[in-house]
Amino acid sequence: MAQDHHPHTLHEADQTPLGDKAGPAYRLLFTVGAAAVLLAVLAVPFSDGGVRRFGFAYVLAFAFVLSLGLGSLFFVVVTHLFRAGWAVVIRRPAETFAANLSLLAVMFVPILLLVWANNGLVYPWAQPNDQLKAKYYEANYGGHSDAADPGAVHILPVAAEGDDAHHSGGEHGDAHAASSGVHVPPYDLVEKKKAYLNIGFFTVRWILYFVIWSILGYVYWRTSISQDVSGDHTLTNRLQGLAPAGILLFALTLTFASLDLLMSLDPAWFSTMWGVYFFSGSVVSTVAALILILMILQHYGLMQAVNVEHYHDLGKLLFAFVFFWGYIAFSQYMLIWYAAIPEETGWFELHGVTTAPAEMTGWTVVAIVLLVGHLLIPFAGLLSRHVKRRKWSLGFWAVWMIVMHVIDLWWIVMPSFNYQQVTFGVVEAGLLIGLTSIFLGAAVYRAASYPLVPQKDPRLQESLAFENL
Amino acid sequence: MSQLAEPTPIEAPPAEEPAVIIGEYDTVDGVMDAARRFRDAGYTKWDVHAPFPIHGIDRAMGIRPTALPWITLVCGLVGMTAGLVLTIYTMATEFATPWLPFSQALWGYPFIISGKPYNSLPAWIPVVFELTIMFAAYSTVFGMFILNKLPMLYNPLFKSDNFRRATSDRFFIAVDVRDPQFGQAEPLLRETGALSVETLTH
Repeated sequence: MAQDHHPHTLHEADQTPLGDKAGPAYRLLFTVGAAAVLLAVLAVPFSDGGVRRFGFAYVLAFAFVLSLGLGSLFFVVVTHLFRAGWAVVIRRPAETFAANLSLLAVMFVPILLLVWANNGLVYPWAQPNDQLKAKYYEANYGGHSDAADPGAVHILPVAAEGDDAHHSGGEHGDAHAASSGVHVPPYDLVEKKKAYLNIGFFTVRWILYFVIWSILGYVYWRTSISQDVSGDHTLTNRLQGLAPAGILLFALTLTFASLDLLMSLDPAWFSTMWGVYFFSGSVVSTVAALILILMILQHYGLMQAVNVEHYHDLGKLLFAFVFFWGYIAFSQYMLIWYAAIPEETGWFELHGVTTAPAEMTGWTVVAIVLLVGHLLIPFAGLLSRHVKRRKWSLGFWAVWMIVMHVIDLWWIVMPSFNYQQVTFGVVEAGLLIGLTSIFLGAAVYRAASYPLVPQKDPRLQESLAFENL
Repeated sequence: MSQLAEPTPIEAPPAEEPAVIIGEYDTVDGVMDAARRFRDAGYTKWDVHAPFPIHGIDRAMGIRPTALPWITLVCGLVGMTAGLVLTIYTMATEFATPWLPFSQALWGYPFIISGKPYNSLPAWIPVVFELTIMFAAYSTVFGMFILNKLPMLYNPLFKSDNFRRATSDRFFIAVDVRDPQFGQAEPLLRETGALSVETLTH
């Protein structure tokens, strides 16, 4: 039993590529993905909100898939940055996801089209400012945009605060505009951000993000694949040398991408913690997804090199980022709550975070579910090492955290569609399942030609013999 | 003249009683195999000394899981409660304790800050959080000291010159005299291939 300092050998299943055996898996995933997207598209005419709803649901689904891709890129780069030995045998699935970030550029096209349409359907800043101004007056003062300037710009819709006050002059039915649940941000605040939030710069930024992500993801994946054949240890040195620059580029691009994709849904609002908030949720869902993917692969007799010690470490990472998410989410909330500046608190009010019963919406319930379900319950649940070392319990929390991450993104995105009522239906579910399945299918397709475990990484032995003391 | 009392003779040191017996091994495999033998034989007061952490030695020795996590958990919860009591009591109640001795009265002092309610839980969370962490972290460190019987300024093992190599290239199994099977330890050490066996006194 003196295994500890004798070389381990990889199981045969870990040395050979999946090849044709992966065929049914990715064909199924592509079929499910295409069917789900089709279903979502077909459901649009029958859903409240029509194309606008589809746009928000697409942003939600894209944000989820992006969080998986970026979380994986983070995992790959940061394990090289720290020269982590333990993670070598579980690195390949993350590498494959990260290499698939270029696919997300294709998935981003519908969002780009939404922005280019220049009608403010999803992103209020993506429209001529006169149009936004007109909508703003329509929503708050019943369409008197040219007649009398009321002199005050409201962060929140005025009609939502009291019904009677604005019924008097409402020949256009101003109460209707407010009760539609569509929040129109103050046009003058949006106008001041035009230098950043404009269609041209938005497009340029996203091209830049995808160039950086695609190159980083591809380089890490490709180099690891070529090391399987050559066994050249200097390749690892090269990837480690790239890691510091890579992690900086990752942090900057993720931050600005999350501002562009999610925060600018409410362009008057701003939070400097937004990037970290999105990042922490991304890593939570990525680690949870990695745990589940490893369990599924092992169920089919693959990834035999992965043992309870690797699951334990992934569980620790999951636990850490569950708490990190809570720390960031709470810090963001508390600073805004404490300062109580209307420009900042408006976002939380629209997302149902309030203690005033009259102002509570369905989103209030979702926010409480996030506090309890995304932080408190999994924190207690993942505390024990025994939970992390048993497959069923770790798998349970992994599923739980992915569901919570979806709810988190849903709570971020959909109140901008309708802040008065909770919206979830075939459109959202179809696009979430659809884009995720296509993303996973592409990953399986890419992974099929290569071994699932890095074959000749210089730290492979360390990873195989890894033990949590 | 008063006669000086006969000075009480200094008690002779006790006979050199054995304190611990150590066996020296030169490989990880050797000490691991020996540890399994000692574990299976049912030894309780013994330990393995190695220059570096040996993966799997816990299982080879049959060491039960430490109670340290429970100490951390309980103290963390105590810290959390302390934080909640501190913040809520001082900021949101007027409860006073003038009956404390030496005029050391405690007074709750409700105070409106930033227009928030007296009891503003979000504002207390950083205090509660830090106290939880502080209690949990200190209890972990000092709990570890206590469980490891630290600080320990003297150990009979230090008498052995051979044992110095436990910090460079040799592995040792040490059986304490309080172990019921201490008597059978020497043959077992030799049987498991110890390079040298040495009995150390207090």
